Amino acid sequence: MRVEDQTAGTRFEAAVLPHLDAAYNLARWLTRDDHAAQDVVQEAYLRALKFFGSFRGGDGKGWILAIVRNTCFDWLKQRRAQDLHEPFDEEIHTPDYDRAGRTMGGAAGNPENSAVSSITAERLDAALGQLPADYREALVLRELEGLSYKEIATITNVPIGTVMSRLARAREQLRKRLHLEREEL
Amino acid sequence: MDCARALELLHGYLDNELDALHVREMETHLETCPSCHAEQEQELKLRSLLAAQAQRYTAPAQLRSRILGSVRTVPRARSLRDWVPMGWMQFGGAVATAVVLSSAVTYYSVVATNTNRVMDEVVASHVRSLMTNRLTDVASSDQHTVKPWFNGRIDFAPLVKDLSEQGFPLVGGRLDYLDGRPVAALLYRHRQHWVSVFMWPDQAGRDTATRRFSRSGYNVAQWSSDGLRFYVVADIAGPELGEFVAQLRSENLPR
Repeated sequence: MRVEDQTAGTRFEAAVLPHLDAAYNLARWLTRDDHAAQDVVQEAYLRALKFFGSFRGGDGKGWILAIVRNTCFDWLKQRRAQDLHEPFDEEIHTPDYDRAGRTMGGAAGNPENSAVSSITAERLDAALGQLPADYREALVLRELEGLSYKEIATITNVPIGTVMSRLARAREQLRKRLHLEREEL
Repeated sequence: MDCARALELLHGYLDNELDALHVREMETHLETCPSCHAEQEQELKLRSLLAAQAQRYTAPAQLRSRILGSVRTVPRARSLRDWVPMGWMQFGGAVATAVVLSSAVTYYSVVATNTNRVMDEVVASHVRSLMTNRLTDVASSDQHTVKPWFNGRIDFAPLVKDLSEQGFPLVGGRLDYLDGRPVAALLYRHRQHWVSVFMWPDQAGRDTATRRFSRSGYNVAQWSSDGLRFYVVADIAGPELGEFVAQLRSENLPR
């Protein structure tokens, strides 16, 4: 019993702790807030701990990321419900894209700005932040975590075809916002 | 392959998710179709932009220690004891040994061991309530709803204060069982963080200064006053916890 206990505890830490950066990155992109991301990730790890018995080994990264994204979507849902009842806390909740959105609007009538070289990290950040959460999620998992369609499908619990179409739509929207439009021929 | 189909498969192609047959068809099409080729160029631009400029956030060090802290505390809770990490097993063994020997050691070391055990219980209860989402038995931000709820459930009057103006809105209360007796637990919120306040009668009836501890990444404050013993647990920073305790202990607010 004692030996098993030790093995399981060590197994948990070995299986999911190495993926903390990936977990935080996903939560940070989904919540768009450092504090919230930290809270969500901690909550996710506690959930993971609780359900570790159901982890059958294998892909620890996919397993923990699935829990993180579910916790994130719970948080987003809860916050939406809360916002209906509570006065809006500007300091915490001002979404990054509000500020950036205005900047982007200014750039809209200015086609010269569309050259790739002129797109700053800030603008890209804002444009990514404006994508719907499930598009943003697919893009973050693909472009920043380098996961395959199959892995993303498992984590987000949708068919592979949906992953592909979400990525296509996410990129299309992103290009529109960055004025990397399809060339008119 | 026509253009519509090529555009549909372009993402899979650039993501290396197509089988060999489709890859060959795509290559042939892209060589002969300037429109789809231009589209591919734009997609490649977006990809290199994302690779170069999109931020991959890394977990702050404090988050890592918070998680390690809670991961190593929580297994002491009953439902999770299936896999207590090694360090805690040894610690548990030490506590068990201390308990066995307690009849032979002095009063003071028994008290010290007890305080440590109670503090572990208090932190574990805070973590467990957040983990299982059993935050409150009575959910209300109104002290006049929460306080009477405890009538008949515990044999003392808990201190329930409305601290919403001080930035700590009351969320509710619940019953808990700590230190071998039913206790009152109140939950306050501070931004995205939860603050648990546990209280039960202090048999010695002392009035003590606030003592602060850190346990498994949580800040804990403890004191006795007005015949009650208080423990506050939260993952907020020391100064914020100090502010909360000061507000809770302040005499200016109605009880």
